[in-house]
Amino acid sequence: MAARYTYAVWELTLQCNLGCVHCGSRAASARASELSTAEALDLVRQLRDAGIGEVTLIGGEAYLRADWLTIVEAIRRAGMNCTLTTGGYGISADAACNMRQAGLQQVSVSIDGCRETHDFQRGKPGSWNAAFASLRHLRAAGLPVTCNSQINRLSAPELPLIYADIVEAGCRAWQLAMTVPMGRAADRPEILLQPSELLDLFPLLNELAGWAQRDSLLLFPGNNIGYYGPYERRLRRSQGIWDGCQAGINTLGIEADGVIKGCPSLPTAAYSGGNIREHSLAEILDRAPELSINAGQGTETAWQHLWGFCRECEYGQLCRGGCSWTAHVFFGRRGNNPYCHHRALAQARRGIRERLVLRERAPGEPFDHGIFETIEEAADSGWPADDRQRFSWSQIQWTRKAADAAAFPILG
Amino acid sequence: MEQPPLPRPPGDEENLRRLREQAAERMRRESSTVYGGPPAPVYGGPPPTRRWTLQGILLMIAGALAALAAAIFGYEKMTTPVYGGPPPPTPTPPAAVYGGPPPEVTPPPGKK
Repeated sequence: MAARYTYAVWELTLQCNLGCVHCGSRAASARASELSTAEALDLVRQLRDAGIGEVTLIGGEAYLRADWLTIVEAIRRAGMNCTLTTGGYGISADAACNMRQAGLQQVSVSIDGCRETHDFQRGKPGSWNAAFASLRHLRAAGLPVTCNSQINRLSAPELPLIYADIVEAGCRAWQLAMTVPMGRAADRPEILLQPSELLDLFPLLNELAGWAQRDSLLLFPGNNIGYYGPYERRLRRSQGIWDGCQAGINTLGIEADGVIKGCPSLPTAAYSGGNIREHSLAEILDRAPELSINAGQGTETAWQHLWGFCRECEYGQLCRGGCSWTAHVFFGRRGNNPYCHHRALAQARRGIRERLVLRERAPGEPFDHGIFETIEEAADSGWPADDRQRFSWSQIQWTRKAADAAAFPILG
Repeated sequence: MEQPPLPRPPGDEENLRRLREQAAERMRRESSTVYGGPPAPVYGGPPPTRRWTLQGILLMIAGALAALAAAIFGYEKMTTPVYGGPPPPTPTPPAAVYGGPPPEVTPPPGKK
């Protein structure tokens, strides 16, 4: 594939054949009014004109939409790269061949743990087996395959085992992202990592980065993994230095009903720049303030939204509060990011541990979120008795035997 | 040909470049504490202090003295019979040395 500098992530449909416990869009059924084939094909043309170089199709599950391969063909004919991110439930050998023939260039399959953990998180028994069967079919069809994984208290101890599985499955790259409290994940705060747990997570990620380098696997930390800590250069080796949120700068998100956002993950209510049915993409890009939240990099405009720890941080002007999505779904506004390794280290040096506590539950709509409060407490103080699923270095399962012996209270 | 709207250019490219350089320098300093160089703070905690090192040495000396005392005075205790237990075993006589006097034959009881 040609190098891409601009990127659109397009939710083709909200219909899904899995029921993931961490799904930010609460995907299940299709949206009430998803774009027609003609509208989708017109949007392909507009994306090309806007300068987009690559389109990643997501859902729900993109391939549950009948005309999805027609859209893939149109994207490729328009000269853009086209990839798919999927839960990988039920991709047959024939389907994989059809994807290849339509021009799809790469498929990323989500793997969120070993069999039991993955099936629990994906909300469907057999989904782990199905995902790896899909990987086999895709490879057999000649499609490059990659994997992506959510990092939370369930999957974090199993990351070394996930690594072994995906390398064995022939994956070329592995994208990692922190699970954050959006959608269904907001209903399960007990599976989210607490900021102080990053102190054990990042040395693990660093170890995995070493393995990946050895095995020529491209480890790709997502935008909410960082920032600037001692492991940053090794973890983000393939991407260069973290430059702050790129929503609306080189990234676009498209919802199945035509809503345009600067990033696919951002909450719809606060970051929708408009609908493609009402305005052209060029108009939305030109006029919508929601798509200009990151404009003016290098000037004061770009960092005036910072607050809390990030406002005083020495990296703040470049980092601009890390991932806007992550900060917003925790606190209802961007600019203060609790998922930051540099921050966890700095607080630990001061003897402080930050703990996030849910104060307002999410209303239960796609891309919704609750409101959390940060509690600062002594680093060596005890944890709440009902917080049973904590992650620490000692829980990491480096071998299958350890995994079999491990007990997961939440799965029991 | 007109430029497409994406990617959007930075507001101040020169300042952005400077910020990147500063961040890279800070990161180099931080990563040197992990990949080698001066003593590394583990997980953000303080490095070991001189006070703790001295305390460790004193504890080692005390431990060595205690081991020496046990070696000297503990031997006698090992041979002390346990009250109510069986009598201590009779020491085995040393084996005859070749070339020494013949073994003394004791006649069986009842024979003269």
